[in-house]
Amino acid sequence: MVIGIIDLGIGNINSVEKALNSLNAEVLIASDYSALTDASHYILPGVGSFAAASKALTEKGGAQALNALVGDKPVLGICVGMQLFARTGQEHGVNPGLAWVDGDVALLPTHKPLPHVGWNDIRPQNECPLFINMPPQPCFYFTHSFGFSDVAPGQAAAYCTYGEPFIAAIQSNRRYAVQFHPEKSQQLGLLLLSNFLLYG
Amino acid sequence: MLRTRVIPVILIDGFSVIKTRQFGVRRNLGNPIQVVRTYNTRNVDELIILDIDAHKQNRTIDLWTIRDITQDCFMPLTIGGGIKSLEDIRQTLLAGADKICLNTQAIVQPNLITQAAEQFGRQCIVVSVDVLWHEEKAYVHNTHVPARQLLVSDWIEQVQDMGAGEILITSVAAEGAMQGPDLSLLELIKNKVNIPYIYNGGVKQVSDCVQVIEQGAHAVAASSIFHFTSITPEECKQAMDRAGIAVRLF
Repeated sequence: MVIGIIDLGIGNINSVEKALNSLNAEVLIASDYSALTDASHYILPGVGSFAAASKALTEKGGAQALNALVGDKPVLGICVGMQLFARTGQEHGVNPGLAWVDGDVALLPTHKPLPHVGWNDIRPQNECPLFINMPPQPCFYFTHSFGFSDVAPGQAAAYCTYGEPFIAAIQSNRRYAVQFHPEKSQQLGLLLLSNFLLYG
Repeated sequence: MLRTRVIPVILIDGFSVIKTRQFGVRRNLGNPIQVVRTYNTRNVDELIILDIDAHKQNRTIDLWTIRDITQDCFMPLTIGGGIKSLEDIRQTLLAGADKICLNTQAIVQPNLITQAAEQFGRQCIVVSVDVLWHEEKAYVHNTHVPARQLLVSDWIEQVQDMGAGEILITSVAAEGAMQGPDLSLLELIKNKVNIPYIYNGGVKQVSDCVQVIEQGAHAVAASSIFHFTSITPEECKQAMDRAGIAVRLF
């Protein structure tokens, strides 16, 4: 098992790598897709704005190039990495995403102060493997202002509420994504990463 | 429901953890990595680590220390100290920080806030504001602005407009004094901040955390209470829980 972390040049790659190392996973990090072809799993991390991440993806050949790399291997998007699954994102202008799910990323519709920062509980839907062996409403660390309010039926793997509900996790076949930071969510976060490696 | 955070603040002088009193007298408290590990085993919500000598010594916080810390601490970290450019921010994030704390450089070069928010997302940019009262007016305290020139209420409005994601507001008079939080400061900023703000300074007992949150702060930060008493962040949160504030308990 080798986990390829796709470096878009904006993310907290070190934290994700350390979390995976603690699970004894072998990690490859590269911005060049050709160096990542041998990975069995992929992680699309991201601290950064949607605009910056979208630009970095486009420079690498957009959805077509990334689809060719990951094929039907499991992928986990984290935070902005999740948002990139969208058709478009509205942070700093409207920019294209990967269109891996049927939804768009916009400022969270809430009357509460943004960003949404801190620990919040989520409500997993259906049988998403990321949440195996977890309490019914696990608590994770979020830090973001943008997100999905809606995706196509069946693609929402978990919801969270911050004034209004939004989508905390998505799943489309073997492509998973979470709006929160598992690599910063202590034991439950490590369990989620482990679930992704074992059952993704 | 979003849980209210209790955030230990760790001040370092480049090498050691220190604790100041009213930004003055220092005590040395040892190795930062050990201090952070202790908090990690206690499952704290988040940590703020600030190198308070970095700016005046014209360096950034030591990134090897940050890398060591993130080796086995899987919790949110806000890092500050001597950060002067987008590249400094990028390097600090790559070392494992989740959020960057700007203080002096935000005053020297306010558009760095905007540029950083555009590049890294505003959730990543925390602006730290130190407050000193004079004749019932609250001023920003910083060696790079003349004393009693910049009003806190004007500055926090400006940093929000420029793209800050959170504000860490510290009462200099209350800091390290363990005489209770600065309630006048909490009152002053109550309806002026539209982004989350973290109050820091003077917390001496668990009930102070409850009071800070009831006065409108989104999170409470403290250091002396955790360094010098047996009170833990978890005990603060238990008190908050009893007062009906949503927290994340171990």
